[in-house]
Amino acid sequence: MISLLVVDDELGTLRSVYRVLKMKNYDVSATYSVKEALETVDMLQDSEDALDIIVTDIQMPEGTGMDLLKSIKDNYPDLPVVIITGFGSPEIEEEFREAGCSDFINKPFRAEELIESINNIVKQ
Amino acid sequence: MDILSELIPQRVFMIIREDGTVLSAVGEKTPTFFGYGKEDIIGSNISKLIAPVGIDAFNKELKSVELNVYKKLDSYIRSKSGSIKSVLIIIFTINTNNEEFLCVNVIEGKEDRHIQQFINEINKKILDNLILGVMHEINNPNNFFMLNIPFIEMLFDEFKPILDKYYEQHPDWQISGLDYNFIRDDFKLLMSDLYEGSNRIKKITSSLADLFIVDVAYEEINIAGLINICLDEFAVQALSKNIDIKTRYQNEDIFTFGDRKSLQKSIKNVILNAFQAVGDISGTRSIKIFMDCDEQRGVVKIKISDTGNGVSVSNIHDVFSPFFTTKRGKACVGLGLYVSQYIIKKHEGDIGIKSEQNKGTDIFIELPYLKK
Repeated sequence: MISLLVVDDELGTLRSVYRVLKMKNYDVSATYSVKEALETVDMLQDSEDALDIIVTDIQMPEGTGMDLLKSIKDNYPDLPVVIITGFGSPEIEEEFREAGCSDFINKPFRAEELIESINNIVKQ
Repeated sequence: MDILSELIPQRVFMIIREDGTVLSAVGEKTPTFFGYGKEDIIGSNISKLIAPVGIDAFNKELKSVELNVYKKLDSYIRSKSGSIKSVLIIIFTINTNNEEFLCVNVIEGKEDRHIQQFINEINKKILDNLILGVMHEINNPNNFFMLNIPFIEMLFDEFKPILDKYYEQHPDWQISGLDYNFIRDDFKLLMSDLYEGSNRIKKITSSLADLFIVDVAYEEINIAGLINICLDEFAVQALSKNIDIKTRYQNEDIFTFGDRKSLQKSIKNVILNAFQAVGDISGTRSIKIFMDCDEQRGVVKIKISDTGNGVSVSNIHDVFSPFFTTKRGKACVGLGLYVSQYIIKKHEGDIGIKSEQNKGTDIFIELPYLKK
């Protein structure tokens, strides 16, 4: 079963993405801050409940998606990170791809777009 | 070749702290700025650069600058050799990723046209930030609709057999004054309308992003090459819809000076409009593009003609208005020609239309001619 962590400070987005992923029978955890996300990853990654993918927003209080991405790449380089964001600029996307994100999805997105992205990452 | 750098060789753009310490400095292809190298500027206080005669006014403007509003003042730089040069200083703050940056642009030169161009760039940066912020605030809640509508549809499909069974036993059953029968059959349409609304909001914010969020970089642009690149994007569509495309260029070496990405977008929007006009008609589907140059007037002229159904007299004055479209039901937002006009006018060009119902449409674009 694919195990994901969703990180977004917008509760509405967090709940919506959680529903979409649960419908696909993924094992989903959710948190609304970078700090909690990093704590969760540290707790899970060396256990049998290790995460397969992180899905994160960019703009959050007390830490951004870029902070989270860089920390994950430094400490868990094999853990893919998918960015979901309402800031749709190509320049921002390029910045995140160069920093190592596995995919970059602009909000609003259809459920199928997120699922396809996850499936592509899992295939790799 | 950066013509602006030749005309205004001395220009530096700095990000500074509130106390005046320079955090970063970028110069336009010149290794030094009034004799100062980057190593002289970065880490120093900006007041070191300003001549004593201008320092009070500069500090006053620096203290009163507001977010997303720029300040402009004539001032004086003390060059490294000690000589005093008059400059234009532009100060503004922008907010990126929840951080505020205090930016100072120092320009030598009094050629208004070029200074206006720099001001346009700064205004653009300020506007970009505002637009990004608004997009973010709209895209996030719109995402709730886009993700949850299919979920609601799925839930209703699961509930339907139970509701149908209840309705069999209670054929007069109404919900909020509506027959259950009606609600059951109408539900899919209801969800489809909500989804279309969400999609339309998405297209609008994307179009706004297209309009504004472009890194502007002025360069020499070969017009024939630009048009050909735009047409390449429509090659498959032209084949599948049997649309005949013809181009005629006075010569292949006609240039303008502008931002390639945005000019490409503006011409592409006009071509797309032509494709949409001829795409579904039963008669001849043809698009012709002419390009020539009026050296005397200093303009490049482009005409894009289609054999579509034309524009009615009642609509012709609105074609460049934002959100005007005759194809709203076909997921058109109505910003394409508005964006084209906006970009072309920013390049000191012009755009016009000639059209009659059932007689096709001509769109005329003029851009400044760059003499080489």
